Amino acid sequence: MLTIENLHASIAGKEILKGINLTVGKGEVHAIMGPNGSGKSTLSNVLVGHPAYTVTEGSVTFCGKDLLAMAPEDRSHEGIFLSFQYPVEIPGVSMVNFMRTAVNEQRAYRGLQPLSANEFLKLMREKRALVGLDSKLANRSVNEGFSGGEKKRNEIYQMAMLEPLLSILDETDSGLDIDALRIVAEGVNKLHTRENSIIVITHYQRLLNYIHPDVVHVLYEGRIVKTAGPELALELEERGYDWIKEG
Amino acid sequence: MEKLLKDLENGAGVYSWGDGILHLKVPAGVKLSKPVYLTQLLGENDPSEDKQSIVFYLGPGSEADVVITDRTVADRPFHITRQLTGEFADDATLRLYLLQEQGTQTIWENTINFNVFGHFTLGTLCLGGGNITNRIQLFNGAEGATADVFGLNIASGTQQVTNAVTVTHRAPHCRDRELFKQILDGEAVGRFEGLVQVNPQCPGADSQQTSRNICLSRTARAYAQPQLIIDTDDVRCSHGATVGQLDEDALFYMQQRGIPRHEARLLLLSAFLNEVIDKVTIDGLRERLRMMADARLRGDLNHCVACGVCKKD
Repeated sequence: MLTIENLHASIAGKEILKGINLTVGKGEVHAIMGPNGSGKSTLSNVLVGHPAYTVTEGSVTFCGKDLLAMAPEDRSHEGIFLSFQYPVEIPGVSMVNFMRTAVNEQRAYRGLQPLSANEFLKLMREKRALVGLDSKLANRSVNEGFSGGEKKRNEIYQMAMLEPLLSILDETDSGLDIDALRIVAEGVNKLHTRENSIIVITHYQRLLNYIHPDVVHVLYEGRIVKTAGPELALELEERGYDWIKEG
Repeated sequence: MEKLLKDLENGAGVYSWGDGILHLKVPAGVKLSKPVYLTQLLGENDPSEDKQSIVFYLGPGSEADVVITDRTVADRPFHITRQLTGEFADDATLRLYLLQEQGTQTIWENTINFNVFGHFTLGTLCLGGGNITNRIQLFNGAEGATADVFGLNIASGTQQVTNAVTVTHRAPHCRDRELFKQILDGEAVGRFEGLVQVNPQCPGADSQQTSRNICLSRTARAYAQPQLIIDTDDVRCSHGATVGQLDEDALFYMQQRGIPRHEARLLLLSAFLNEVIDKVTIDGLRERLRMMADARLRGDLNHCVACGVCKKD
């Protein structure tokens, strides 16, 4: 589904990613772990086309297409979703208007008719129930005045609405208490099928107690320095990152 | 319309429309059940220079909504000056909306002058024009009088729009609000000059001036000058002004959800104006305004969507 080869990327002239190689297959869950500043968030931002980052070398192929050649909105239409580490507040833009525009733009890209108002509201209700998002939040402006937990839950709700092929969860666990973490993780698990893939970016092992990865990678200084099964996450939790830095 | 005519029979009335003066009277205690719409279309054969005046007579306890639309339908210069003034009795309520849909060769100067003894709401809604000046001078003259002034301005090219608002509190416990929002593109210039003056022996004054501006180009200019002169203790007066660009983080967030950048921009710009549009209390006008602002923001600069007068190119 996703093939990253020798990816180099920089921000403001400073190279952060120094040759990433990563392949994610259909239905797989990959965890990317690593200490602060190792390039985890840069990787997720580069994959969704954030304008602040420049790709200097390498390639990314998504479902056979050159991902790096696409505009951010087209990457979304092709099925890539980023659950933001810091979801943005958009005062004055209602969740309903925002989601309806997003869903219908995706449908237009795929040659489908826009949903009618009734169909759309039905879809919203259905997905809201799936991830347990309060109906009051769905009537407010996008993320405005939401608590940390509500924002993260809203990300998963948007993921449910857009049904992506590849979801990148960028530190979805940050700022969540244990209960919120469990609810958000359960939402993600409900949405995971054999057809879609997930990349979980996290510092800690605790999220991986709920979202079980098939593969765990360690990112350090812009490169993937270790790849193994889920047991690697436990080992990192126990031993920290130092042994990898030294190795 | 029938209801309006009935209202007029009940005593509300247009007196005369001569020498460029329109008299509009709402007698004591009469509450007009529907808005009065006054629309002026300036066409090829109308004089290019004109002085006009609208005089209101609002009796005690009367209430009216008045919507004045001025639209040019000929692509040539106009220079119009207009006075809006009148008598505003105790507890009278006037909600006045000025819709400005003019061509880029139009110079328009409104002078709005009222002694408010009741409740006055004024919206200046500028969707087009060459050089527009709204000079607004209000005196809150009776205890508890309120003045609520707001405006939106979408300007591009070399358009210039000025809203100069002076509110003077002459009695205790009066309230005023000024909220102006501008979206400026090209080399457009938008000005908000606000002055709130609280005279001596006017405690309890409650005032708030707000000017918010988005410049879409490096050459657009927004000037905000909210000022206060306070000669009484025990007042609550605040002012705020911002000039900025669209939030890049919000734009990218929306793009990541599949909303193309130009649509995302429109969503943010509409959201920015909504706070002002929501202050319009006439449902139909509010919806039409939303539609027109949207069309204007989409670049349909000189035409409004709901208008059958001018043909779309």
